[in-house]
Amino acid sequence: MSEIRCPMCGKSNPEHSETCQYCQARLTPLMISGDEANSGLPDWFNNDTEEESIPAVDSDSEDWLNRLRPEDDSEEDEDATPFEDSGDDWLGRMRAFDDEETDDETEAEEESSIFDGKLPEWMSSDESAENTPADTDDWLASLGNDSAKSPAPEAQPEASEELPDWMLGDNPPASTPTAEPAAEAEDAPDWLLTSSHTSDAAPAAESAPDIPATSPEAEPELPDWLAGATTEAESSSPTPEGESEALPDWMFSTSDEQPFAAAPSGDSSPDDDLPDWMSDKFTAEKATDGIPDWMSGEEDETLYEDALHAAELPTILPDTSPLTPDWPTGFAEDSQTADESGEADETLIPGDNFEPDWLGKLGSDDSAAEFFEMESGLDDDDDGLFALGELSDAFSDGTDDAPTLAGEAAPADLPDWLHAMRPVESSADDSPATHGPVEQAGPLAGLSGLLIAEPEIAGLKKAPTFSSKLKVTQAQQEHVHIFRKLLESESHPKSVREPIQISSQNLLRWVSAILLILVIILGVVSESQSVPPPSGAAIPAGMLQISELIETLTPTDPVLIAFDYEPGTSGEMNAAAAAVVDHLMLKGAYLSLVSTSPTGPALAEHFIHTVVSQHGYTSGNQYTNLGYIPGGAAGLLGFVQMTQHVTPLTFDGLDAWHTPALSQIQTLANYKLVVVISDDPDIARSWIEQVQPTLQNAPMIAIVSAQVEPILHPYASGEKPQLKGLISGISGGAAYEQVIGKPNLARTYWDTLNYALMAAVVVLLIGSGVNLMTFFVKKKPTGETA
Amino acid sequence: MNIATMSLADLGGALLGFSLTIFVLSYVIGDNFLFRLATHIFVGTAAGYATIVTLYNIVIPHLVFPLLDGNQGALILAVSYLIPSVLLLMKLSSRLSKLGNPAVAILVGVGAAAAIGGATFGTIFPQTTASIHVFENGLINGLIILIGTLSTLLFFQFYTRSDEAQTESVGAFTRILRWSGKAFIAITFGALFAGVYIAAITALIERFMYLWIFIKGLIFPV
Repeated sequence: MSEIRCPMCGKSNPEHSETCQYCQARLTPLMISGDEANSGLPDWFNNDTEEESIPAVDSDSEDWLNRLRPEDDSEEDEDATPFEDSGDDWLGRMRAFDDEETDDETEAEEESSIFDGKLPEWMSSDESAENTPADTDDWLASLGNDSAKSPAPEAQPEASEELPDWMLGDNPPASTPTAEPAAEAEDAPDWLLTSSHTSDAAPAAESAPDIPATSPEAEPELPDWLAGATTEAESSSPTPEGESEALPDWMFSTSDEQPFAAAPSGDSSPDDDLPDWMSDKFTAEKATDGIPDWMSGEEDETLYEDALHAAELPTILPDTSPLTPDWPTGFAEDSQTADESGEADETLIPGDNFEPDWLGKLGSDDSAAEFFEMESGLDDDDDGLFALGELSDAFSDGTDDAPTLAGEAAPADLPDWLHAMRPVESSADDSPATHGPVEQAGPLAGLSGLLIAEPEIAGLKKAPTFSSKLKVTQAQQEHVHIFRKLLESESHPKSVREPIQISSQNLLRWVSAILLILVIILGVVSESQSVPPPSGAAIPAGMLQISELIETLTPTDPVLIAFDYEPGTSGEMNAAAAAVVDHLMLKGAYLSLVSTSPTGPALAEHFIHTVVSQHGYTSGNQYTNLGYIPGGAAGLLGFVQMTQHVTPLTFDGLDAWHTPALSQIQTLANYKLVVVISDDPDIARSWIEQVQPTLQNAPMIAIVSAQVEPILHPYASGEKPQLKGLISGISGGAAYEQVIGKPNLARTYWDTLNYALMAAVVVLLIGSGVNLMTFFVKKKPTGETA
Repeated sequence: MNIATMSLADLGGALLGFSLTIFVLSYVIGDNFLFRLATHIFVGTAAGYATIVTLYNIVIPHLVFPLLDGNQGALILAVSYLIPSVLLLMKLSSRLSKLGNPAVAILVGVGAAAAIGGATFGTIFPQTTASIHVFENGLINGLIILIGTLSTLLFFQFYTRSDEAQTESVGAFTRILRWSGKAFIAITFGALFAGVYIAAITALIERFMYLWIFIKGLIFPV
């Protein structure tokens, strides 16, 4: 054969290729050599290898493998003649056993064939052919012992007696089938082998159709496959030669093709301790040579078993067919019979007319003929493996699929048996509940029990894309707008309403100023006395009281006069106080001048020497300038409490309290009159608050500026006023002058002051009129617009 | 004023007074150098004069003389003046200013106490007593004083009661009183302004009178 079909992808490859060119699957199985193989093998294998040199005739019946090798060698030497003579007739002998006609001669031949080492080809290998035929005695004997599960205790002593006839040699040469499709010969044992694994009732007669009863003691030492074989051998028996005609041709094709003899012996390595037929390599070679699969390695057996299981061969085979062999029929029934009778030879052989239903169905179908024709055609290709696979497919798929098997499989098409091996179908049979969900897609499609991805991961979706824009509701936007306006309004200063620019403002100011100045100048220059001073009812009641108080003074009565005004208001204050001080001087009062302002003492001196200079008052004689009292209200309080200590010296630096007038002064209450001349309401109030309460019976009068009068007026009014009299400004001075009947400085200013006041009133009236007119002029256009 | 009989000092003083008066009056045409010059001269002179007055009327009589006099009582009192005065000078230095705090505390405390006491016994009690007897001066005057006082006080009542609608609710009577108080305050301020105006017109008249006398003395030296 020039090609090797890949068991995985089914494509053809060159003969010497070790791996498939298409799927890189290994075509030639790895060979285990030497001790490595022995180490992993069971004992019976190791013994087999050790006893290769042991003579063929050995009493140890377990070492059948050692004897199997020389048998193969002998077969090679004999040009595969044993199969021609005896090895292929086992089916015919099965037929003979089926008829329960035990032929002593046949048994003798079989026994001799075994002792001669002429085992059936399917039991031998290339290497075993080199061994002597006697080497096979032991294992065959042990096989017979193993198969002695069936009741045959009397066959134990000798191995030759225990072995079945068909295993003893080439006894039925006459039963050698004619040249038929080789694949048929290969397939028949396949399904029989399968039946041995499945159930005893299956109508599959395996490799030992006529296994006799063996010793039950050797049973545990047999390998499984042989144990299966022995088990079924209980229900099988060799077929007589005369009945080989009823067998189909395909069941005899193996003898013609001589698959075992054709197997190249040189391929087997001499170092191999294992028999080739148990090795993968040998299996491949057998497959190429059309060797039945059940004679190959266990792997192929398993493979075809699966295929046959998948195909459910017994159920689809036709009921009856002329091509169907008779021997397989009734295996189940006979096996039970054998168990009951204890004699394998008689009970395990079915009758001539016994056929299993499936064989009958196979024969009745026309496709069966085509099937066998296809198988015969496949022999030409020597593609035993492919043929086997196709056969299994044919069985599995029924007759409809048979025509498709005639041609070669397409390179890309997997064989059905490979399809059957696919995990998809196998796992599909499994319950998802027990093995988990079945993978439906991807390279692991069909596999179950896989670790599934987490639902979250498996159900991953495209990550949701979120908008980078901030989602703001309408209400939030309104709030933002309000807040923004609020911030903006805070940042911008509130616009100040610009004043109305009157172009004539400066002119009016100049006009007002000039008018007022002219009036004053006119009054001063004119030195008018035309305006009458206040008199009569116009003179306030306080003026009369002041006059009465001063009138009650005697000369040298001490009078305290406080000059607490500033130089700026000296003109007014001098005019207001001139009449009173003049009145005091007229009465000859001793004046004590004091001030809480630093400039006050100087103003007092100036007043004495300029305003009332006509009285000739000198310091220390008629008056004493006590100077400045620091500390404001506190200083006044100290002055009230420690008068002499606060002001020990006069403004001139003299001892103030050593004058005769002031020597009697201990407190301010010793003064006959206290006169406060002030232009500041606070200072005037301080005098009232700090000094007036301590004055006891000494009266206090105030001469103040016109601007202070509204504030001090409450102190001068009432039932018990704190101020006995109040003179304010020019009008008060002029009124007091009118009271005492002596015009003074106030009278000089009185006319001018009246003119100035009249001018001011006129200006105020004019200004008010202009402002009112401007108001109405600007309001009118606004109203029209509105 | 007879310039012919005036001494040179009086004449210089009169001329200086006339010039400074003109400088101040120049403000009528706006702020100018002459006005500022006159203002600065006045401030400087006033400050210098106040310093001299203080030195001669306060420091020397109350601090120097007692220390030199030898009177032990006056000396102790002078030292009691001296210590806070020196500490008060520490205020000139930022590093030692804390030393002047006691003196300032005494001054402020004593001044506040004097002001409060004076206000209490010199203004509040007397004025309250006087307000009780307002009707003794006549019914009309009493009513005017009463209404003026109450309305002025109500004008400075700034709190109001708000309802659930957060609207200001002020009674009509209260609004009338407030308006009346506002009117009284306006009249008071008008009177004060009139007094200020009269005082200013009086000062101007006095200055013009001074100028007229000075000029008249120059023109008419007799």
